[in-house]
Amino acid sequence: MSIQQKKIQELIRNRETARQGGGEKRIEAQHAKGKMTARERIDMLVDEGSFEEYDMFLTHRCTNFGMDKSHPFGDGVVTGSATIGGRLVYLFAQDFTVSGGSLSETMAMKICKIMDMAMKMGAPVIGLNDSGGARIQEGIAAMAGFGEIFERNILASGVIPQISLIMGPCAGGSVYSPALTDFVVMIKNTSYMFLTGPKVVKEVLGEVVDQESLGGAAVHASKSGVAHFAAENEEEGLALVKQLLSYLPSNNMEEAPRTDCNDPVDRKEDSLNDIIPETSKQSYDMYDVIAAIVDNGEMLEVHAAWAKNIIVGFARMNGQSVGIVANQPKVMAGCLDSNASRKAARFVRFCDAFNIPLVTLVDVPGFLPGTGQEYNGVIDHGAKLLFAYGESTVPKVTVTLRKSYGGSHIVMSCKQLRGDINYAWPSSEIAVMGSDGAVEVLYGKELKAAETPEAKAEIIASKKQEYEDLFCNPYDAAHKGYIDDVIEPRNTRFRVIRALEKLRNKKLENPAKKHDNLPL
Amino acid sequence: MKTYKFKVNNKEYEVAVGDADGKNVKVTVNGTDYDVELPEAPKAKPVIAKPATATAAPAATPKSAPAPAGAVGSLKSPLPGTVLAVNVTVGQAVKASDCVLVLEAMKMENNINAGKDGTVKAIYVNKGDNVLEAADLMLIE
Repeated sequence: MSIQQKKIQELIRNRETARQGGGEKRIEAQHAKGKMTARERIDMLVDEGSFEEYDMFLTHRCTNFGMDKSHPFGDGVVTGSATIGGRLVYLFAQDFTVSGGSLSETMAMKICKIMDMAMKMGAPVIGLNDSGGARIQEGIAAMAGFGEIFERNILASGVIPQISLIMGPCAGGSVYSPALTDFVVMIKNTSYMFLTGPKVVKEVLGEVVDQESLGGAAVHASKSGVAHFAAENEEEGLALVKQLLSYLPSNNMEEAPRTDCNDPVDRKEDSLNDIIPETSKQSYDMYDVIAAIVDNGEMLEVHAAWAKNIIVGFARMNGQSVGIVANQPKVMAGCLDSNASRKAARFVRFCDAFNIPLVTLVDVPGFLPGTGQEYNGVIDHGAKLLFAYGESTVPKVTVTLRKSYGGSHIVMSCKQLRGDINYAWPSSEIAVMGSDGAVEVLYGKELKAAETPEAKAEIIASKKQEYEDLFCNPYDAAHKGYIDDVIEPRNTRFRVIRALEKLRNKKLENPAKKHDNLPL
Repeated sequence: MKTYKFKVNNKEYEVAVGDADGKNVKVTVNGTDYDVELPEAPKAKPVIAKPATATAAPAATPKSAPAPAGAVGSLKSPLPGTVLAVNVTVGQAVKASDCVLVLEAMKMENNINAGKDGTVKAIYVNKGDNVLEAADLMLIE
C-alpha cells in the first residue's frame, strides 16, 4: 500500500470512529431510553444525502480531572449544514453518548461556527439539544462557551429563524440558548427543561417534585409557555420542524416560499353565515372559522395548549404564508389576560420580523379583571401585544366577527394601530364597553333615583336597548371609517386573500432608532 | 328643634327632637313630650373625607365560601363571574367533556367542563354565587 493510500485509509478509519460517537454500549443505552442518536436524528430531519458535517475531528483541550486521557472526536456534538425541503439550513445535534453531551469550550466553538455561517448565508439554525449541562471539568471556560452561543442567538434573533428541539435533558445554563430562539419543540416523556432540578428544589424549598412535573414537555407546553410545541416522540418532533420551516422565509430579507394553491380563492363558505349564535352570550369554536377561510383548512398551531383563549398559528392563504391570531370565545370567553397577551405578542413580533402578513380574527369581550391579573402585571403584558401590533409593518388584515370592546378592541389590530384593511361581520359589536356597564355609568343618577327595583329594571332595560342599538354593531365604527367594510361572513376567505394580494408591495418604515423599549 | 317624620307599620309618627342639654334631650312624638337621657353626651365629630382604600389591606376576599383544605385538585373557575347553572349533583358520574357548570363572565355564558372523568364528590358553589378567578367550584375524583 502506498503512503498516500495509507493516509486515505486512516481518514476512513477516523471517520468511522467519529461516527461511532460514544460507542455501541452507549448508543444502546440511548435507544433504550426511547431516544435516537445525534446522527440518526439528523438523518431523519434533513433531505437525504444533503448533510455535510464540519469539525468532525475537533477535540477538547482540557487536562483537568484526567480529561487528558480521552479525546473523543467531535467532542459531543455533530454540526454541519444540510437542506430541508431543498432549502439550506445549519444545525447542531448534541451527542449524549459522548461525555453526556456536556457543553465544553470546544463544543461551543463548533456550535458558534455554524451559527456564524448561518448568519453569513442567511439560513435558519436548528439546534437539537440533548446535554447533561456544562462540562464541569473545564471550569469557567464552559460558561464562556455558553456566553458565546447566547450572544450569537441574540444577534441572530430577527435575522434568521432559530429553532430548538429539546430531546433530552436541558438544565441550568443550557436552557437559555433555546429560550433565546424563536421556537422550542419538546419531546414528551424524554425531555425536560429547568433552571434548577428536582434535587436542588428539594434541598432549598423542601418541595418534592419529579423531573416531568417540574420541567417536562407537557408542563412547558401548557403551564409556562416555554415550549411552543410538545411532540409525542422524536419522529413527530422532527417532522414538525420540517413543517414549521415550510411556512418561514430563510431570513428577514426574504419572503416565505409561496406554494401552489388548489383551494379556490373565491370559495364561499355558507356555514360562516350561520356560525355566530343568536345570542351574544353564546360561544362558538373559532377553529371552525379559521378552518373555513385558510387554504385546505390547514394551520400549524403554535402554543396550542397554553393560553387557549387566544389562537396563534401559521396557515396559507392563496399559497402565501400568513400568521393567524384569533380570540377563542370558547375558552375563558376569549378574553385577553396576561398569558394570552404574551403569547400573541411574541407571535406577532415573530411574523413582523420575518415578513409574514398577519390575519387577525377578533371576538374579544375585554381584558380579564381581578387581582390575579393586576398583581401579575396584566397592564404590561397587554401593552406588549399593543406594542407588537402597533410597531408591525407587515400587511395586517383584521376581521371583527363579533365582540370588540374597549381596550381590547384597540389591542387587537385596530385601524389606529396601522391596520391596513379592517373588515367586520354584521354581527360585530364594536364599542367602548358593554351595555350593562355603560348604562350604569350613563344613567347612574336616574338609577339611584328609581324608587322601586322594578322601576330600576325598567330603566336599565330601555337604556340598554338604546345603547345596544346605537353602539353594539359594526356601523358606529364604519360610520367613522375605523372599519373599511362590513362583509358577509361567507365571503371572508375571498376578501382577506384579495386584501393580502393588494398589500403585497406594502412599504412602511418605523422611525430610525437604536431599538425600541417594548414594555417587557 | 328638628322635626322628623317616620312611617312604621303604616302608622305615621312626627318626632321633634330638642337641643341636648348635657345628657338630657326633650323629644316630642305626635304631641306627647318625653324626656330622653342619652348614654353619653354627643360630641361634634369633624368630618374628614378619607380615601376609602387608605387602610384597606390589599387582600383578595373571595365572596364564595372557601373550599375545605381537602380540595386539592378541585375544578377551579377560569374566570371571575356569576354561576348561572350547576348541571350536576354530588355523587353523579361525569365525563371530562361534560359541561358541569355555566358561568356568566366577560359578556359570555361560559360552559365549564369537568376536565376529567370521575364522580362529583363535592360542590362548593350555588346558582347565583359570585366567584373569583381560580375559586374552587367542585371536586371531581
